[in-house]
Amino acid sequence: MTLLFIDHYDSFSYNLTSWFIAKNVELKIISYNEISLLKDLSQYKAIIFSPGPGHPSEYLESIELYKRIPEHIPFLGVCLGHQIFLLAEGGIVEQINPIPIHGCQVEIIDCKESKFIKNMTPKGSVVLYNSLGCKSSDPIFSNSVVSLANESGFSLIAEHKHLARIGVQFHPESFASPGGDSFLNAFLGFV
Amino acid sequence: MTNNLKISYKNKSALKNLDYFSQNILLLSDMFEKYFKQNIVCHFQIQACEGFEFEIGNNFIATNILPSQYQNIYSSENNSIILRFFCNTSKRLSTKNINNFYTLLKKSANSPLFFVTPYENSHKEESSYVIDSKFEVRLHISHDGLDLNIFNYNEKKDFINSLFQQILSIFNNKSINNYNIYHENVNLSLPENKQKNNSFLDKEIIETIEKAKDFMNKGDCYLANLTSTIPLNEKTYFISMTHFITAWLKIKSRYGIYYHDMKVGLSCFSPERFIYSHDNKMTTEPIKGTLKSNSNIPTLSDAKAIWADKKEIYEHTLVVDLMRNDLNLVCQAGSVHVYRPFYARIAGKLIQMQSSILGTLKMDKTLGDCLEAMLPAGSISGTPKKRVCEIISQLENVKRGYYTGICGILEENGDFDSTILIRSVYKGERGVYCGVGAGITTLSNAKSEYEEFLIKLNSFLHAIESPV
Repeated sequence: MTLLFIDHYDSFSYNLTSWFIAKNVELKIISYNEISLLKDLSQYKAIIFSPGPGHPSEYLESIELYKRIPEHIPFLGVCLGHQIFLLAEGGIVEQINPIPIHGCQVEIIDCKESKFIKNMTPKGSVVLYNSLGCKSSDPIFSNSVVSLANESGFSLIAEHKHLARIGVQFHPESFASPGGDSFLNAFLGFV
Repeated sequence: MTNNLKISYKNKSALKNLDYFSQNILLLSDMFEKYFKQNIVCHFQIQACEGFEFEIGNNFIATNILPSQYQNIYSSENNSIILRFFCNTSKRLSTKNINNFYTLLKKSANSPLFFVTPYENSHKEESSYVIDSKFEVRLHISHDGLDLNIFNYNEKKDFINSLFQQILSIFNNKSINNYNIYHENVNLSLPENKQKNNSFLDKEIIETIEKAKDFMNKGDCYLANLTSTIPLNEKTYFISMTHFITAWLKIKSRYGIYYHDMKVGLSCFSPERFIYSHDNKMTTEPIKGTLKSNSNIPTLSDAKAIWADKKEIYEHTLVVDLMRNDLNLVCQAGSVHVYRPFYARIAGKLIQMQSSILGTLKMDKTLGDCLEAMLPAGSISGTPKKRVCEIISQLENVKRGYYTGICGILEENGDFDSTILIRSVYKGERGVYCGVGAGITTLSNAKSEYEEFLIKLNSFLHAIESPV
């Protein structure tokens, strides 16, 4: 079983890939500039979009790729990956705060159950490294996407209404996210 | 190896014994300098790690107990001080082509190699160099006394034997405490316009910090280390080895590293280890967060003060995740662990917040592979590294040169240690210079960042200026 991992040149990507490899998961790691080489996506058991710098709208090829993902293949977007997912679904991604804070931990309370993945709610605090986000009041959340958890008015965990596509604004692979492990295990268990 | 000298002298700590033997060390240095002139490298390290453990609780995936698979990683280290003099050195390589440098460090060596490389934006300006030596005089100082050994790599035995006799006479001389080493009287100060507190904090620096924060607000990066290098008044003068050692004995920085020839020079008082490997287990020990204590020796309340500063904790968290990522580039998946995070390490009057990230190297990974994958070091660049390095190049108007590069030692068995080139004086193509910097995040305040610049600069520059 091979998972496709798209790296948007982030400095935390290899924490995420190593988490999966340590679970004996086979990963195909593709850098953002190699996306055009990807032809057939149906061979992958799941597709993961890494975190990365900048605004999701700068990553046209990832947005295109997202739109090509076959409906039956689960998707996970982390941080920038979460934002690409929401942007591709029609959401607006904007600066979260006049002074975004990177590296602070949050507890996830009031998390709705995922329609697809059992026990997905992170058990423990998680860390945020983002400057941008998608408001939980965004019209997409009354359309194609559900925001399962929010933080300060922005979506922290989002899920497609009909397809197994999940985005998380937090960094589950961080050493500052004790809740990340249970989340990633739940995702892997589903895949 | 037959040339061995042991002197037992019980003292409260290795550091106290360093003071006790300081005159011997200076005499040794003076003698070596006369013999080997510019063909010598000093590499000193204080291995004692004193400080305060951060209470991890359930907040971080980390441990204050060394994981069992890493029990051996620090086994060759203890509370001692190691002084290594690499003698009769020659330059194996001096290149502006970084790939040649990495290639050499991927091979095994017949003697320990000393290596230096500038920060990446200066590869075309300053050379990376590798130095080997014919033999090494190694002093091991503990609370019990001093142990001196000579390791012969490729030197004539007769020469070593005669040198050893002279070393013995230095240590047998009981009246050395009255001996006065000759010192140059030199003023290595900053140019005058940089000395006064607020002139250094000019509009330019504030603007640069604000620009960096703009990038962060847009999500381009989360942490950027912004620096500046400063030419020293005496552009051509480089301190002598004995002068350097005199200053180091006073500062007692974790590392003390010195090399000087016609073209390049390094006198390094760095507190920060980059990567270290022993038996394929490796560690990196990034430092982020510095606080100056009001007491002579930092206390637990100083440690609590730095832990209470959220900006420091957030910034440090970023660096730990960044270094975990970089270790994952060369280590086996699942082997990377965070050990003693946010440790408030005592470094003279300063508290330095330090974490250790441990990992097991993948099969056949060498020092050259690690440097190729991991440079520039995370703690002096930022996150995400690729983007932040572009931003640094755009914002910093002076190239860094050797400042924030690295240097270290590759052992014959493939083990290695390396040091981040901060709190150092460099000689290179542009003359003699030093550098300072600070990590900028969205929470940064230009004035306090500037004060951190000054604390760091003063931690070593004064001592060099007035060594006696």
